[in-house]
Amino acid sequence: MAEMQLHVGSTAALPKAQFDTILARLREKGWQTVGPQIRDDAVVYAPVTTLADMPQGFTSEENTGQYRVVKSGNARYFDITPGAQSWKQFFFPPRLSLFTARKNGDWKMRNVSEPSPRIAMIGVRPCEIAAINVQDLAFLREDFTDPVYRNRRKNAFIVAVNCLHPGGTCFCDSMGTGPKAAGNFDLALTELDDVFILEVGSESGKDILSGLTLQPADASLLQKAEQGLAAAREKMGRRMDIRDLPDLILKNLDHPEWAAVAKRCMSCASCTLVCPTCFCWDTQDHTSLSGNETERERVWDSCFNPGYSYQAGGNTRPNTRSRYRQWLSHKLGTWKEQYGVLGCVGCGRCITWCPVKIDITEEIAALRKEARS
Amino acid sequence: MGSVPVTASMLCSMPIFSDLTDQHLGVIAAITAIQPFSEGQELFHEGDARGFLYIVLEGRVALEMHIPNRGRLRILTVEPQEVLGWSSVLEVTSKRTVTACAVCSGKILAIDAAKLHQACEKDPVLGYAVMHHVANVIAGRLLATRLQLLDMFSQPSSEAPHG
Amino acid sequence: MTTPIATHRPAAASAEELLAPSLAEVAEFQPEIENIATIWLRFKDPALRKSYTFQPGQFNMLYLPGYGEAAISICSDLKNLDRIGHTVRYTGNVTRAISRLKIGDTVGVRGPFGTHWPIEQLEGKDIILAAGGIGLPPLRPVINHIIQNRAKYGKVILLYGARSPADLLYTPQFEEWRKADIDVQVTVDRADDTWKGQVGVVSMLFYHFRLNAANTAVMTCGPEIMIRFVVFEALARRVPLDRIFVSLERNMKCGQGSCGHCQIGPFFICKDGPVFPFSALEPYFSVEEF
Repeated sequence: MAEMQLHVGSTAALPKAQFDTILARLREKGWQTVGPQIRDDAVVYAPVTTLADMPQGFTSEENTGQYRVVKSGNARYFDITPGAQSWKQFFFPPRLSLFTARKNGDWKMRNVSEPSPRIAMIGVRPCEIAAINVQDLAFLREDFTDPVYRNRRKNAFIVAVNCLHPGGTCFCDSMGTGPKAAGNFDLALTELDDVFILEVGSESGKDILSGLTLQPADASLLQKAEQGLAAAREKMGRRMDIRDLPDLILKNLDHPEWAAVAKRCMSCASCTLVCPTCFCWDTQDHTSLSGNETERERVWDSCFNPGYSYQAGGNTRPNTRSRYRQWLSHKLGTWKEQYGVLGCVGCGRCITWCPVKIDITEEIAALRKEARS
Repeated sequence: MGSVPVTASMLCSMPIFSDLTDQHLGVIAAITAIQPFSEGQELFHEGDARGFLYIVLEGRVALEMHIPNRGRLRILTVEPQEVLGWSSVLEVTSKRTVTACAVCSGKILAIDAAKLHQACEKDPVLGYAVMHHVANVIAGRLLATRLQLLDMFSQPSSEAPHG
Repeated sequence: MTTPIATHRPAAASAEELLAPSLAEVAEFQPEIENIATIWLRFKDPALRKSYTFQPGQFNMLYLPGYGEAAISICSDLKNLDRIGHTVRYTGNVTRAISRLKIGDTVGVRGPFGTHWPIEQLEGKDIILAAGGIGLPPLRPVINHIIQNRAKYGKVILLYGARSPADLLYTPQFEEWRKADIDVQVTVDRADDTWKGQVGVVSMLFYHFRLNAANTAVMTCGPEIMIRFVVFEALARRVPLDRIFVSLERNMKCGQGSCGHCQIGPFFICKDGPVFPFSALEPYFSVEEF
C-alpha cells in the first residue's frame, strides 16, 4: 500500500506496535519522554520509554475527596484520567533557583541559567492542553515573559490523548475544553481497542512521523472514535453551567455561601497545588549563617496561605472565607478580565483531591441560589 | 470686650447662612456680635453653662479636654466658617463638653444661645433651619471623631506568618 | 483593562534581567523621623545611571542580599536621576536591614514598576493631593513636577495628615512648597503640647475649602482607610470618579504581574497599579477583605 502523505490535520491509523517507534525517535532527537505511570496507587508523570510503561488495563475512579486506581478489565493503555500531578511542573517548576550572590568585600551576583530540558509529554489530555494554553497567557505576555517558562515551553513536544472515558469529577465538556483536543498539540491519539487514531497537529509532529508507513484512518474507525467521544460527553462526572460567569461570582461577593464553604475549607492549599492553571509563586532567600552567601529561589505559592496577602499593616485576607472567595472569584471570575478566558479547564482535580470534599461545581450552583444579578 | 454688632447684610454673605431668609437673618443678627480673641484665650471652659453658639471667622480654636493625670488633650481644631459650641442649643449637653482655647488670635461670631432658642420656639421654620445646621455640624464632628478613634496610622506589631 | 494609565517599563536587554536585580550602592542615608529614613541609591553600572528613569508614583523592588526584597515607592526628583530616592519605614526584616545600611553598601534594584500619577494629562486642572503618613513620599515627585511647571496647573492644595506632629514627613520642605504657590494644609490625629496647627483626620480638611468639581482632580495615597474617606469626601463634592486617583499597596513580590500576590479583583497592583483611577477600583474597593 502506498505511503500516506502526511500534513498538519491528517489522520492516520497507528498500530499500537508502532507507538514505541515514535517514542524512540523523540528520544533520538533529544527529548525526554514523560508520560503517565502508576506509582503508589496513583497516576504520576514520570519518564517512560515504551508503551508498556503506560498504565495498561487500569482506570481511575474519582469523586469528592476520593481517588482510586482500579483494573479496567480491558487492555487499553489510556483509560486512566490525570492524577494529582499536572504538566505545569515541567514548564513552571515547583522550585527554581533564580540567582546566587556571594559577598567577598562586595556582593557579586550570579544568575543561575541551566539549559532548558526538552520534554516530550506523552498522554496529555485535552483539558491539560487547555490548561497549558491558560498558563501560556499568564507566563508569555507582551509586557513580561517568564524566561524559564518560555524556553521549556518552546522545547516541548506534546502527544495528546483524547478522552473516551472521562473521570468521576471531570467536566471538560461544560468548560469547552474536551473531551477532544482541538489543537495546540504536535500529535493527538484516540485509543480504540486495537489501534490508535493519530492526528497530526504541527510540523514537528509531522517530522517525527517521516518515513513511517501509515495508513489513513478509515471511515469506520473515525466513526467509532466520534461515537466514543459523543458517549464521553454524556458520561462526564460533573457539569457546570458557565453561561453566567464571571458575573455570577463578581456580583455576589457577599453571598452567604462564602461563609458556609469557609466552615469546611481547611485552607490546606491542595486545590491550588493540583490545579493545572494555578500560577502563583513566592520568592525565598536562603542565606548562610555567615550571611555572606545567599540564594534566591522561586517556589510555588497559594492564595490560601496566610502569608500570601500579608503586608506591613496586617493581612488583607485574614480568614478562610476571604481566601476561598479569592481563589474561586479569581479562577472562575476575574481571570476572564485578566486573560480573556476563565481559569478553570474542568479537569476535576480540585474536587478529587479536596480532603473535605468541597466541589466547585456545587459551589457555583450554590451561588446561583439567592444570587443577585 | 470689643464686640461689634452685626447686621443681616454681614451675615448673608456667609455660606453657613445661605439658606436663611432675610427676615431670619435679621432675627439672628440682632442677637449676634463679632468678638475678637487673642492667642491662648479660653472662649469657654469644660463644664460651663451654655452661653453662645460660635462661628469662627478668622484664626483657629482648639477643642480640649482635661484628663486627670494626663492633663489637657487637644482633640480637634476649628477653622474659619466652622461652628463652635453646638452644645449650647441642645438640652442633653447642658454644660460644655470641651474647653475652647484659641490657638492664635482671630475673630469669632457669637450668637446668644438662650435668645436663639427663644426665637426658634417662636418661629418653627427658623427653628428647623437652625437645628438642621446644628445636626450637620454634629454629624461631621461624629465622623471626624470616629475616624480619629480608628487611629488609622497605627501599625499592628504582628510578624509575618510562615507558609 | 479599564485603567487608562500607560505603563513605563524599563527596556531590559533580555527577559532574564527582569528577574535579577541590578546592583546599586547607597549614596546617601538620610534619617527622616523615628523609624523612617530616605536612602539614595546610585547604580554601579554607568550606563544604567544614564538610562534609568521613572514616572511619579512608580516603585522599585529593593533587594537586600540575604534578606529579601521590599517594594518601595520612588520619592525623588526627576530632574536629578543620578541618585534615586526611596523613603522607607522599618516594618519587617528587609526594611530593618535597610535601616542598618551604610554609605557604599550594595542594594539590588529591580524596576521601575507600575502605573504613574497622570499629572501630565491634568494640565489646566486644580489639583488636590491628599496624603497620610508614609503616603506622602509617592506624591513628592508629583509636587516637584508641579513646582517645575506651576503655570500649567490651577489651584494646587496638599492635604497632609499624620498620627502626631512627630510623624510628619518632609516638614522642612513645606515652606518651599508654599512659596511655589501650593496651599499646604497639615493636620495631625493627636497633638502634642507644642502643636499650633490643625488637629483632626486628613479627610476632614475637605471641609475647609471649596472646590470646583468640574475642574478638579484628586490624587491620594496613604492607609487604605484614609483613602476610603478621602474618596468619600471627594465624591460628596462631586469630583468625577475617573478624576480621583488612588495609589494602593498590597504584598508585592515580583513587580511584574506574574506571582499573583498583589491582586485586588482583576488588577495586579504592581502592573495595573499602584495608581488607579477610582472608577476602575470602585466595584472591588469597598468589598470587605477582598
